[in-house]
Amino acid sequence: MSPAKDDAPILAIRGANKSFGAIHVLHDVDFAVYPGQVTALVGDNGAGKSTLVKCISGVYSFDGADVEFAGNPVTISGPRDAAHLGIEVVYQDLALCDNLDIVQNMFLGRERRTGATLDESSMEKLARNTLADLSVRTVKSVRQSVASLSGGQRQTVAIAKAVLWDSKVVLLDEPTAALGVAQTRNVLDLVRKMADQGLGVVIISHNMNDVFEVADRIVALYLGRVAAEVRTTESTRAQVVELITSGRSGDLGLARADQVQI
Amino acid sequence: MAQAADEPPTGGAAVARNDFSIDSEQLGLGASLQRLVFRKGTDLGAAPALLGLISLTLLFGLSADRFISKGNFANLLTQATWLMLLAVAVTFVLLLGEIDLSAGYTAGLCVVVTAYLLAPPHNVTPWVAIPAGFVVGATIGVITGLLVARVGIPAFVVTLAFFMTWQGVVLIIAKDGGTIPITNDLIIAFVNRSMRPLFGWILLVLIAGGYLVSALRKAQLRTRNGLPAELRSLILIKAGMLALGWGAMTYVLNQNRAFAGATAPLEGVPIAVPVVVAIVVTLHFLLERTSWGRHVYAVGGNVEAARRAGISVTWIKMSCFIMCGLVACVAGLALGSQLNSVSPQTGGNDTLLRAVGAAVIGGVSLFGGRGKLIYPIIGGLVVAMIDNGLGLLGTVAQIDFTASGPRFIVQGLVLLFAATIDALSRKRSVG
Ligand SMILES: Nc1ncnc2c1ncn2[C@@H]1O[C@H](COP(=O)(O)OP(=O)(O)O)[C@@H](O)[C@H]1O
Ligand SMILES: [Mg+2]
Repeated sequence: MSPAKDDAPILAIRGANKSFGAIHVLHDVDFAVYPGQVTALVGDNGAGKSTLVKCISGVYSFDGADVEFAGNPVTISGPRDAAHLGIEVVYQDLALCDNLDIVQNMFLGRERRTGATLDESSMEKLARNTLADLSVRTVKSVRQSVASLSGGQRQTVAIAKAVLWDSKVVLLDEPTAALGVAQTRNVLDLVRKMADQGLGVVIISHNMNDVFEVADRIVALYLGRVAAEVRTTESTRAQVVELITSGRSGDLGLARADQVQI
Repeated sequence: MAQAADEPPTGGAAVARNDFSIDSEQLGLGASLQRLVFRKGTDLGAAPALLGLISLTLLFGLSADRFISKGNFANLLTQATWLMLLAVAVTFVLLLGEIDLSAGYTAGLCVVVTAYLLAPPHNVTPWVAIPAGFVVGATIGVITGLLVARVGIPAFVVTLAFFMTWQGVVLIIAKDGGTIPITNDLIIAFVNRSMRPLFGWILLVLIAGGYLVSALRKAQLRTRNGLPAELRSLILIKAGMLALGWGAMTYVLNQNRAFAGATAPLEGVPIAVPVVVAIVVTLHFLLERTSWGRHVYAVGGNVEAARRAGISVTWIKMSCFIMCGLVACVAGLALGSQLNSVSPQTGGNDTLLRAVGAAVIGGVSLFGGRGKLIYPIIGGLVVAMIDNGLGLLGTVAQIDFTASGPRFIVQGLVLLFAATIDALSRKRSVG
């Protein structure tokens, strides 16, 4: 893994806050995604990882935050805004419609049309090619309903849905949680491949092996605050695990947050 | 993979055999037929309702005289018209996973407004009076949709409130217990008149030909794109069966069914048939071939996924309630046509429950996201046939099936049965 050179971030969020009623979930979060790099977002359950992802994708709106995309200040006020910018998300709950088939799910909200009617042929072909690129085994038809798929197959469809588009930033919220060894391998390879193609990739994972294998930098969230942002090459698993569980590790961590410079 | 291995190994060399085996293999006719009949998946679709239709025909055919007769067949279609239409209307709401308890009185209010405007002393032209009914239906849809989708009140509560409200408005317009006669030819003709026999045959050609052309075009498009397509021979067989079935129906309806000694012949396919066909084909097209339709199913299947895909859930829900109101207006016109008048009872009593029952019996899921527009048509026929058959059955085993009591019980149990199938098949698919 080449030591990543820091280009300007493709996506930069500063001072992000988010509350659900009285629950303050995100506290002054700074988060940046760099093109050509994989950023791992780690943290305990309930740390606020999924909330941060959903705010970035426009599902929720930040209570306050400066968001810059490719150097320009932007406001993302809905999923369509994020998609227009080129931000794709694989949600933790996958967000698939069980009653629709694979093709219909992959193009949901962005169907291809000829005139007023749906262009099923071209969508089907594209969906099939994308899935084939991900080496999905044992899916018999892209026209079978998502309800009939296994957990791993569903997760792959959700990933394929995000890969389908010409995107600049891809966020994957625990994308390997339901996957077997071989499929996890595929996803990690895909994550690396996307970064090598110049995309900014964010992966949320609890698996330190995966994180250290694929990520260039690691951002640890602790109770809604950024505990630290470290380079993978300059940190150890023990350090990161400590950051996740207690919010600090030696010099790093919340108590001395002002000294954390990268 | 066992199933894939049974099939003739043709085509699909580019992709590994396990992957997309169904997509990449061009099946032979035998395998295609097999797949058509033993379709995998948990969605039973309209199969139970079709089975019900066949068994009911046999049951009543054997037990009730006059059930299988030219006159009763036309009768059945006439009686089923409003029911099928109202069932189509509520299907749009059921697809969302919502319910509309006020759809019956929406139909009633639309036709009452139209009849009120047509009747003296207003004598408004039908070109204004009939559209006015549709405006009422659409407006009701907008209001209901706003309250459900924007304000977030459960549809059950909103439409229960409107069930009372619209009933009240109907009462005021129809002046408590008064009836407004309908004399307008256009509305009367809707379910009471039939087309000349020639037009019945033209309709047959349009329907079978239309199916054939659209299926062949779809197959051609897929072949051109390198995708496996439905076999041409299978399309021909299906079109042939459609033509045969519809042709038999047309033939029967084109016979004179007037009573002996009647002065004029009574023959032809009821005008209501092409009207219902046109509505169903158009709306089916919207649901199956446009983004809007796709989004309706998405909202019904997983609202959150639809929202995250950037779909405007509010608009989709509103448009479905509007669609429900518009189609309910046509159902109201059918009701008014059948009765030659409107009264405060029009659209009341068991109207709505029978329509929802017809949709669910036809195979539309109460949980949202599952169902095609042909389902409420089949379900409507089932419910109408139960009613019609029981009426002709008379008294069996000391139970008078022409009375409301036994009929309500039978209908209630049939609806319960259909809802059970729906719930069980959903449970199976959720795992
Ligand atoms: N829609 C919501 N409404 C209220 N609280 C929420 C909502 N979504 C998340 N939370 C709360 O925010 C916190 C962070 O959740 P989440 O972002 O899902 O954590 P993570 O993905 O890191 O496990 C949790 O305490 C959770 O209960
Ligand atoms: Mg999470």
